[in-house]
Amino acid sequence: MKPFRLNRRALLRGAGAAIALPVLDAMLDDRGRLFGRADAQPRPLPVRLITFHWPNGTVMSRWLPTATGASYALTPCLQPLSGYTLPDGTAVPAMRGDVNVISGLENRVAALGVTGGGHIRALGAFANGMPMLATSAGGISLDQVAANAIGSATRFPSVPVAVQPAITENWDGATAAIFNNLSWAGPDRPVPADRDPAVLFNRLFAAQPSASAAERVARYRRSVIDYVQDDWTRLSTRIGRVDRARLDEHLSSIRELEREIALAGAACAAPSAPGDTQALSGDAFARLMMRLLVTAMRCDLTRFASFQLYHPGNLYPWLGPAWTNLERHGLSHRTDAEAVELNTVATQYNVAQFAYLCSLLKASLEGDGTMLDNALVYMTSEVGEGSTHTYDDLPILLAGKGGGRVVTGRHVRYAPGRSMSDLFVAMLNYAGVPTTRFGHDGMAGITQLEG
Amino acid sequence: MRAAPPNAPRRLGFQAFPRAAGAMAIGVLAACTGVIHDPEGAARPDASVAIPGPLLLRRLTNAEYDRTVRDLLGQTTRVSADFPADAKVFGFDDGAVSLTISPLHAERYRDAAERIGAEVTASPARMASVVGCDLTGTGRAPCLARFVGSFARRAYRRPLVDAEVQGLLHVADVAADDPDRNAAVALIIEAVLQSPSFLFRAEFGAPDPSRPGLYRLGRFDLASRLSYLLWGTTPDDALLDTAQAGTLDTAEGLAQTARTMLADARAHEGLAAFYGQWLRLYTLATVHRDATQYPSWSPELSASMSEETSRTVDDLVWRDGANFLDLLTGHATFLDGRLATLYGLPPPADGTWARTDLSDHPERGGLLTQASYLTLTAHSEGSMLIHRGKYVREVLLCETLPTPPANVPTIPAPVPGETDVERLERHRSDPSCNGCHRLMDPVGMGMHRYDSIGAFHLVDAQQRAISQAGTLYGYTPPDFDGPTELSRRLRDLPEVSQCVVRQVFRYAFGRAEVMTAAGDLPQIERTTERFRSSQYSFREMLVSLVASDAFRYGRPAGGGS
Repeated sequence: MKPFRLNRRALLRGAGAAIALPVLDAMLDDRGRLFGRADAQPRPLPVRLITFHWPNGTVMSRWLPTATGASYALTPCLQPLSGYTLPDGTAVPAMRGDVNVISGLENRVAALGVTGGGHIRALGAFANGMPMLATSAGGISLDQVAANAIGSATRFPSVPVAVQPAITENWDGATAAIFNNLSWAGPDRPVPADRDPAVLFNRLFAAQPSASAAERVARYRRSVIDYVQDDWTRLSTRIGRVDRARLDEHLSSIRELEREIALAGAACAAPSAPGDTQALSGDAFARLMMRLLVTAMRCDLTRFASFQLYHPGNLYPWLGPAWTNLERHGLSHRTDAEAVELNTVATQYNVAQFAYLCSLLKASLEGDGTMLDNALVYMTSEVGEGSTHTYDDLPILLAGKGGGRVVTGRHVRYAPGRSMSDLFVAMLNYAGVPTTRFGHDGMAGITQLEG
Repeated sequence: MRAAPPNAPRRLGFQAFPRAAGAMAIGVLAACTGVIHDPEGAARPDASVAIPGPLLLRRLTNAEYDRTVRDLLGQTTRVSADFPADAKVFGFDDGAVSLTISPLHAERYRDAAERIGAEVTASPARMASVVGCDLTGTGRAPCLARFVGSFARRAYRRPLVDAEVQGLLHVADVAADDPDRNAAVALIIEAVLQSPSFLFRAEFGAPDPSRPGLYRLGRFDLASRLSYLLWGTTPDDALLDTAQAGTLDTAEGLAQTARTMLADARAHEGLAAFYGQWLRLYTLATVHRDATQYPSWSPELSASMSEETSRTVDDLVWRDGANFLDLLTGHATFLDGRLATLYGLPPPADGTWARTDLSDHPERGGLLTQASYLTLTAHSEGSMLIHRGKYVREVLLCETLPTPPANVPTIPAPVPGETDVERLERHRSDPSCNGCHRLMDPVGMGMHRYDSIGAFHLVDAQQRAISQAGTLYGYTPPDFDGPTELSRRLRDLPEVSQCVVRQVFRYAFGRAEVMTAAGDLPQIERTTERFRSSQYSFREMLVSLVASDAFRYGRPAGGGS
C-alpha cells in the first residue's frame, strides 16, 4: 500500500484555508537523523506518545475479536481500520497493519476513586493509573512523565488537545476538571488542553518576527520574567506551605516560558492559519485539530500529547438526523437492539477518527519509515462496556511501532489480572523513559508487544 | 433503606476533606436517608465561638480577571476567552482549590498581558486615562514613576514596597531605547499582569495577640475581600484609600464601607456574578431545544428566561424593604413579550420588560415557576423531573446528594404509553435506586405541569391530566400539591434561609462551608439570624457577614509560616 502523502490541500481541506506543510524530512539527514540543531549528533528519531480518549465505552460484543494474533478478523466496531473515505472524498487508508488491538487489561483503580459515578472514577485514572481524588485525578499521566523526563528537547514539552468546549459544571458527581483534562502533572495539577484551532495554531506557529524584532521580544520577555520571579520570591516567603506549593506551580510555569524563549526559532516554517472554523461540523473540527497536532510533531515542536475526543455528554449530530438530539451518554446505557446498533456506529466513528490521526502520522515520512513507526498512540475509553461501566477489559488500540520494537497488526489478549498501567510501563520504556513501575498497580512492563 | 424520622434534625453535614484540609472541605451524604451527625461538633459543644477559616491564596477567576483588567486599564474585550476554563466546585468558580495554574495558564496570561499592553499604548485615549503624563523629554522618568506608583498599587490592591517599584522601573529601562516611546508602559503592564501579586489574591494577615492562633487580616486583604465579594472586581483608589486610612480595621468601619460599596453601581454586577452561579442561570446560555418540538425556542428566549430571574433577584436585593424569600413566593415578576407569550399572559404594553402582577395567575409566581429554573433543569425530556428535584435539594436546601455509585443501572428507556412519572416509578422500584431518587424525583413531580421550556400544561399530548402531586421526603408534612405549595413550604423552612447564607459563604470564602461547631456553623447561624431579624434583607445579611470574625480573621493555611 502506498502511504498517502499529506499535502497542502489535504491538511486544511474543509477549513477554507491551506497550511503550507513544513516537512520534517527537511530536518533530517539522509539517514533519518536530525540535523540543524546546536547539538547535532546522529541519533535515532524520537518516539512520540499520544494518549487518545473517547467517552462512554463501547459494546464489547461488537468490539472484541475472537481470534488473537495477526489473523484476527475485524469486528464491526473495528471496521474503520480497514480504511474508509471521508465525506470530502479523501481516502483514509487501512491502518490495521499499524495497530494492535489489546484486550484483557484492567483499569482496576477506577473502583478506588473517592467520589463520582462510573465514568468519572475511570476517567480520573485514565493514563495516570491512580485512584482519583475529590477535586482531581490522582497522579501524573504517562504523557507528562515523558514530558518531564525528556520533553525539554522540544519547545513544548507536551501539547494536550481536546475537541469539545470545556465544561465548568460538575458531571457524574465530580469536578469538571477531571473531564476536561487527560494530562495531569500530578494531583490538582491539570495540564489543560487547547480547544480552539485558531488559538492552538497561534500557540504553535505564530508568525516569527524579523530577527531584530525577535531579539527585542525575547529581551523584553526575559526582563518581565525576571521581575515576575522576584515578585514570586517576595510573596513566597510570606505565605503558608500549602499556598507556596500553588505559587511554585506558577513559578515553574513561568520558567517554562523562559525555556520557550530559549528554544524559539528552532521551529520550522509556519504554515498558514486555519480559516473560519465556526462552520465546521464536529468531525471535521476534530480532524483539523489532529492535523495541527501532527504538524506540530512534524515540526518537532512537541513529542508528547493527549487527545480528547469529546465529553460523555456530547452529541454526535454529524452522524445523521437520528443523532441530532441523541444524548450519547444516555444512549450508551441502553442495551436494546436499536441502541446496540447506534452504539456500534458511535464506536466506529471514534475508531475512524483514531485511524485518521494514525494516517496523518503514517503520511509523515521520516528516516526509512514514517512517523507512525516512531510513535505510540494509545486509545481507549474510560470504560469497556458502556451500559454497565466495566473496568476489567478495556477496549484498547495501540498504534505505531514505538521506534521499531513493537510488532503491529495483531490482537494481543491478556489473561485477567494485568493492569493497564503495565502497558504504560512498556510505553514509557519504548519512548526512552526508563520505567519499572507506574501508577497504583503498574508493576512490570508488558513485553508481548514485541512479538 | 430507613427513612429519617420526621422530627429528626435535618442538618446535613459536610465532612472535612482531609487531603486538602484548610483549602477545601467538601463532602457528600454517606447515604441518602440518613442524618449525618457530626462527631467533631458533638465533641465540641461550645458552638458560640465562631472559628474563622483558613487564609487562602486565590487565583483570580477568569471572570474576575476580565472585570479587573477592564477596571484597571479600560480593556473591554473578554480577554479570558482563551484561558483554560475554571471548573466550578460546590457551584462556584472561585473555589481556591480549583483555581489551579499550569504552563498553559502562564502562556495565556503572557499573551493577554502583551495584547493589553499593546492595545493600551496604541490608544491615545487609554494612554491619557491610564498614564496621563508626558513620556518624552525630561518628564519621562517622573511620569513613569508616577504611573508605576498608581497603576501597580491598584493592580496589586496594596501599596508597593520600594523593591517592587524599582523592579518595575528596571523593567521599563529595558525599553529605554525602543523607538516606540510607549513601549516602557506596555512592558510595565505586561510585568504587572503576569505577577503573582496581581494574579493571586494572597491574604497575609498578622497574628492577633488577643486571639491566639488566629491571624487578623490586613486592611488591604480586607479591601480585596470586600471588593471581589461585593463588586466582583478590583478595589478602586477610593477603597484603597479607605483601607489605608484604617477604616477597615474595625467591624463598624467594614460595615459602613460595605454599605457605601453596595450603593455603588458596581455592586449590581458583583452580586449578579454570585446569584448567576448560585441559581445556575449561566447554564441557560448552552441549553438547546429541538426547533420542531419547541417552535418558540430561540437563544433570545433563553436569554429572556435568565433575565426574568435576574430582574426578580435584583428587585429583591436592591428594593428597600424587600424580603429576599419572596424569590420563592413573590406574586410579581418581570416579563418581556417573549416570556409573556410563553406564559400565556398579555405582553407588556411596549413589548419590553415590565413588572407584571401575577395575582390572577396561580400557576406562576416564584422561582420554581419561572422558565429559567424549569428549563435549565431539563437536560433531557426524560430526566427533567429528577433534576428539578435535585435543584431544590442542592440549590435551595444546600443538601449534597451522593453521586450514583459505580456500575448502577441507568434510568430505563421509556416503554410505549408510559408517562415520565410511571417510568421513574419503575426505576425507583429498584431499591438501590430508590434510596437516592426518592429524594429527587418526587420533588420534581410537583413541577410536572411545566414542560422543558417552562410552558404550562394541564394535560399531556395524549390528553391525560397531568398530576402535580409531589413529595419532599425528610420534611413534615412531606406531601405537597404543585410548586405554589412547595414554595410556601420551602420559604418557611429554616434550612432554606440558612442555605442562602451558606451559598454566599461558599462564594465569599472560596471554599465549602464546614457545618460543624468547630467549623463554620456558628458563623453561619449568626449570619442567618441577622438575615432573619432584618426581615430577610439580603444586603443586611451581607453587611453582617463582612463585619464578622469569619471575614476579619483567618487561620494560617497549610502549616503557617
